Amino acid sequence: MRRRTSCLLAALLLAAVTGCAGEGEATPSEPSTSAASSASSAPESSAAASPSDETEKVVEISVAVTDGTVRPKPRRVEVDRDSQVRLLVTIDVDDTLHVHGFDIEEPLEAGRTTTVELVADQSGIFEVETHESGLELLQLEVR
Amino acid sequence: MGIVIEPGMRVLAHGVGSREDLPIPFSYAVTGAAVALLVSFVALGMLWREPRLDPASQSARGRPAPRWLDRAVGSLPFRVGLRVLGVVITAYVVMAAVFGRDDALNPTAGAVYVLLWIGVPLLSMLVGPVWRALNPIRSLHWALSRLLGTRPEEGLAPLPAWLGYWPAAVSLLAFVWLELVAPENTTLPVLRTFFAAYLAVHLLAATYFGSGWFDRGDGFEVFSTLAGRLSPLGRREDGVLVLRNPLAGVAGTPVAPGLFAVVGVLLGSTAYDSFAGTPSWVSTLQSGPMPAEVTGTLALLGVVALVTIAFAGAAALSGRAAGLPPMQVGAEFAHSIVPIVMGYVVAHYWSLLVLIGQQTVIQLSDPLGTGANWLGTGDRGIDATLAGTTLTAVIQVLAVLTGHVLGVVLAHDRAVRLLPRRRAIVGQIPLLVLMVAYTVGGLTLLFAA
Repeated sequence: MRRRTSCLLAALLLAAVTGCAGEGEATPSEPSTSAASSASSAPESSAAASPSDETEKVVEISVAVTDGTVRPKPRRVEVDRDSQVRLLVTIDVDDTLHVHGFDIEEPLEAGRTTTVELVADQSGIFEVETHESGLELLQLEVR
Repeated sequence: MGIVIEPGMRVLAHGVGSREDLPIPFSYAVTGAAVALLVSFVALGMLWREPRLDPASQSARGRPAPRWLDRAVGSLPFRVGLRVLGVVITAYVVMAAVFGRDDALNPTAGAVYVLLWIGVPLLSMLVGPVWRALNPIRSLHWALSRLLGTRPEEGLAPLPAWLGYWPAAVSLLAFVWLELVAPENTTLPVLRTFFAAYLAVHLLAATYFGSGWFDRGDGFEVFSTLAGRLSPLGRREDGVLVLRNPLAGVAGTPVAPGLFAVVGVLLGSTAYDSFAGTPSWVSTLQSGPMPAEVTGTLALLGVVALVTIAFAGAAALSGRAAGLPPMQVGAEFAHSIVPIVMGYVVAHYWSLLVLIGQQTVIQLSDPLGTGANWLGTGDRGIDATLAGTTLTAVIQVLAVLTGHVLGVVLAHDRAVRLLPRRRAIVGQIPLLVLMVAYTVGGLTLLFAA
């Protein structure tokens, strides 16, 4: 339970930073591994949402790539179907992010954190990878 | 080459293998394994004592199909029509591969990895060996032979009998390497290169050995023909089209060297594909000391070798228990693994066939990326009903179990036919244990990978 809470806190903090900065200068020095869900971490226009509101669940996942090494190590992140997923990707070279199955491709700029949001509206396991360097960052397990 | 990406623009990426199934529930895996074990050993004691599937026996001959059907599918216009269809479909996909845009909307990769590789064998399971009738390389070879005034069946030298199915095993290994290991394997230059080489090799080999080469050397045709043995429709030795017990069809597979290697490549590669997607394996590939392709190649070869050697070992043990040479036992029992392979192929690829199969049919309407809708399928959506999570899990477990049960029955029947009476039971045990291992291994991969 304690771990959950601290994860939640980390997610909140990160959301606060990246949510305001957009694709900006946020470069977390220590990549967070939070995969918490929280109503209040949805940044834009959700101030009125009650914390128990199911539809406002946001799962935030951060991953960083330095010298071709993915941190945290590629893993499977379980999310509930139809939940909101926010990916925060920081990389040290220009690249393209690709979320399989959801047909999302997003340019990644060196040294910046790119945020991608999606609604996990189909079940299955989906790879999240970089195109140029061909690294698998993580897998979304939607059930 | 590649896709032009503007910020925020969303495009499809090369779409084959973009999604994997959720693991099957633990209870499904355990129940499946328990049923497999139970069926195996009950079968040992309770199944028939006299062979029933011997292709020459009365019970395995099947019932003649309606005369009109036999005459229709055996007629020259029908057979030529299928050949023309095979050439036309191939030419259409080649057009997409040569003149189409190399992006995710190009249908070539889906046509190869889903329609040809999975769709054709599954269709063969229903209606018989379709690729033999459609195979464009066979047709091309026939046309060239006619032009040169030679008979297609006659090459410069006969195919040595000891080669058996080994050429097909190598041919299939090359393709599964492309499918599972080769970098950029959904891009057009890679696909064009592979299939240009495939065409050259098989056309030359067929010219040298005659068209019988395709029966033993062309991986796609051998896979389709093996799957077709599970079809309830088949031709008897006397050429009559019959409705038959699919088991009798499989039992009629020619006994030849290398068949167990073909089966090993198919089963091993599918197993490799199951664990190759796991995050821990991906990590190993990405952070290992060797390039990912080298590690992947070694692992693929390793799994194929493991599956194949396990079979050879079990056959050797069975042979020893029954007092027969191990090589003979291996060749005689390889067919019994065919249903296990097909069960696992269905389990592993079901949702891919449903989802990407539909996507490919949609994309085939616009092969050149010009926004065309030639086939009228371009504006359809993908219906995911048949790939739902629960349905998929049920199909996966049932497919694996059905394959296992058929395999056990086939091995049993061959054992009572081949082995000395008193040793028939004991002689089956190593193969039975192997089948249980394959099936439990397959279920474990479906659950844990």
